[in-house]
Parts: sequence; structure tokens; C-alpha cells
Amino acid sequence: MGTPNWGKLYQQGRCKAIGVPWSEEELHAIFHLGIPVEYVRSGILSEKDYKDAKTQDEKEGTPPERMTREQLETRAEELGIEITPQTPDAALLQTITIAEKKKASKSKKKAEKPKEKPRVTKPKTKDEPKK
Amino acid sequence: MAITVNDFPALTDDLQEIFNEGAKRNVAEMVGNKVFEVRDTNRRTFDHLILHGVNGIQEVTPGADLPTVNTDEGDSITYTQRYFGGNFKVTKEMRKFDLYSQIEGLARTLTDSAFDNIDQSYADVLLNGWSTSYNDVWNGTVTSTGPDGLALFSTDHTNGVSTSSATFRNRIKNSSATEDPALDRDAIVTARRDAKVHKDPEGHKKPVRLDRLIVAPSNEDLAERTILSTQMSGTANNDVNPLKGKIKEILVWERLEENSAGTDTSAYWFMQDMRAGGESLKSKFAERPSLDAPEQVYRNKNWEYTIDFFYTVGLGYPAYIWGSRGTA
Repeated sequence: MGTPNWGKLYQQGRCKAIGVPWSEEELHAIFHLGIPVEYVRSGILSEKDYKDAKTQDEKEGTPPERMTREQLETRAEELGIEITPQTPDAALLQTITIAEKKKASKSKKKAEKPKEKPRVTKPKTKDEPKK
Repeated sequence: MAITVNDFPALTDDLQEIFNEGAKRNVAEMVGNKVFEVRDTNRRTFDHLILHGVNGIQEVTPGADLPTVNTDEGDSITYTQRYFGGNFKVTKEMRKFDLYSQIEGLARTLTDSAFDNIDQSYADVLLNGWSTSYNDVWNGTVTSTGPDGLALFSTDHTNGVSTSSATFRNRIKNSSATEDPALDRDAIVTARRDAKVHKDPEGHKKPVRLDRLIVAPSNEDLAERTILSTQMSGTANNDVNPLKGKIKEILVWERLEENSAGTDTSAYWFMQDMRAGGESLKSKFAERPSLDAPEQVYRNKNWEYTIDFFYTVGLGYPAYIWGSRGTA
């Protein structure tokens, strides 16, 4: 059977992921409840969940999986990721997620690292036997 | 008398005739090629682009330049050819003892099998129109999404025109908004009404006229009573049957009774716009089925005749075919 242009469909918000069509429930959330596709892609299917997620995003910042293409491009720039206009959204999202995880673990390590104690060197005494 | 090497051309001619007769009969009996637009192509991958007509016909002042019209480019889909074939052996034993009826039987069976499977592959497209993949009659897993990335029958089909947010359905519901209703008058009337108010992505009225009813043999009697009766079937009053004459054709398709996976699908029914149905359902042949004679007599002394072909089945703009599983 035929292969649709999944890349274009994904970019237009008309499929869940490359090769993954929307389910009936997800279609309902998009077209009848008016929930943006970025939120539906992250599993939000009811109006209440959408409101909660939106409030949370306003407080803590939008996670990459709910960002629009423009927001993803800005975030990539902030993280120093080189992209091209041809970079698919899915690849962009994956790259940003990896970069953010890496950044988070780096800063966590930095925070956890115990302060180095100054080395105390014992002054050699003349009486010490030679080894 | 034994069939000898000298008889090879005559036997080949006979088998070609059997194949040709079988092919002719099968093509005439097939229903799928009426429902699908069957065309030839010489491309391995065929790109189908949906165009939603032109926008820009305007009143023109005499003497002025005619405005250039714009085409609304919709979704695209690629159909890739698949290769199918089989062979039958005319063994030394068959020739020595002149088992012509066996040879003839082999040719006939293989011919029928090819055309049967092609027709079933068409029926499976409709019967699996609610899923996004299925195992087809050739034992392959196929993706059954249309150009908009959805299953053939959906309540929210979209189009690829970036400026449009219009959606449309091609899943049959009845007047109580119940999806997948059993075949009855109310569901047919509702589906016809829903299809008639179809709009293109620009919001222009583009009515879809559902004038063909496609049913499995289990629904044949009910379909004919509902459509062909001069008065309302099953009612005590003498109202005329308004559907009579509006549905131009009732297609009874034996292969709708059960899908390739063996699931009972006898309640499934479909409606199609005969004028434009080929826009939704397509089949492209890069090579039609043909019987080929072996080029030489093999060392095992078998003469191997082959039947092979290249074809593919694909979905286009889904507005012209509507379906119900008949479960409600």
C-alpha cells in the first residue's frame, strides 16, 4: 500500500510521530477539544489535563516535548545545537532532550561534588628514617 | 500418446488459451476493479499528489487579462510496486502418460488463484479501513493509512492545504449519530446527506454523491429490499421509497463476507460516489498477470510455466468512499 509523506504530516501536526497515526481519542482531543498537538503528543487528552499542564508550564517553563517548532529552534540555539531548516521536528526534539539531560546531569554532578579538602603535607623531620 | 518435445509449442499455445480464457472470465467477475481505479504504470514508485481544484475563477472585465488560478496542493502518497508470481510444473510423467487434464487443471487453478487474490486484496482494503496496518492476502503486513496519515475510514480526515483547518468524515453514522450502524434506510439517508455537504479545503461546496451501495452476500436481500422497493420496505404505510433510483448500483461482493484473516465481516457495508470513486481507491499495474512458457526444457525434464505480475494498491483522497462495520 502507499506511504504518505510522514515528515510533512508530522510538521503539520497531522500525525503523532513519523509513521504513527493519531488514534480516535487523540483526534477528538485535537479537533473537538482544541488541545494543541504538542500537548496531545505528550499524552494530554482532556481539557482538565490541558489546563493543568499549561499552568505548570507557565510556572516551570515548557518542556521540549510540548514546544512548538519555533520554541524548539530557539531552545536549540540556546543550547548551542547546530540545526538546518531541514532538521525534522522529531530529530530536533530528540537532540534537545539529550542535550538538556546532559546539561542537567553535569550541573547535578557539579552540585554533588564534595569540596576538596586542602592537602595537608606532613613536614619531614630530620629524625625520620629513610625508606 | 505421449507429449513429446515436438509438442511443446502446441501445449504452450493450449495453456496460453486456458490462461487467457481464465483471465477474461476472472476480470469480468471481479468486483474490485469496479470499485478501484485500475491503471497501468511503468514506474516502480508512483507519486500521487492530491490537488483540490483551482481557486481564482473571477469575473473578468472585457479586455482585461485573465487572472492566473492557483491550485490547492494537498497531500501526497507514494505507491510502490510489489512483485507476485508462481509456477506450475509439467512433469515428464504428465507428458509421458498424456495427463493433459492435470496440466490443464494446473494452469486453470494458478490463473484463478492470481485473480482471486488480487480481488481479495481490493476487498481487504475496505474491510481493514478502520486500522492503520493489517496482514494482506499475500501474507505481508501492509500500512493502510491514506495520504493524511489516517486509516481509510475516519471521523476527522484532514487535508494538506496549509491554510485550511477543515476536517471531514467518511465513517457512516445514522441520524442518532451512532457510528458504524447496521445497513438500514436511515443510515443510508444520513450518509448521503453527510456526503452531499462536503466542502473542499477552501470551504467551497463540493458535494459527494453516494450512488453505489457495496454489500456482502449476507446483506444482499436487505440491500435490494431497501433500495429497489417502490414503497418503504418493512413499513405498514404506503409512502414511496425515495431511495429508489438514487442508488444507481448495488454491488454484491462475495469477498466482503470474510477478510483474509478469516474474520467475519458480513455486516460491513460501503457507499461510493461512482463518478469519482477512483480518486479514493487506486490500483496500479506495472505488469498485468501473464503466463510465460519456459525458454528451455530443464535438466529435471519439468517444463515450468510461470504466472507473474507487478501491482500495488493505494489510497487517495478518501471523501468518495464511505464505510460502516454494521456493528451498531
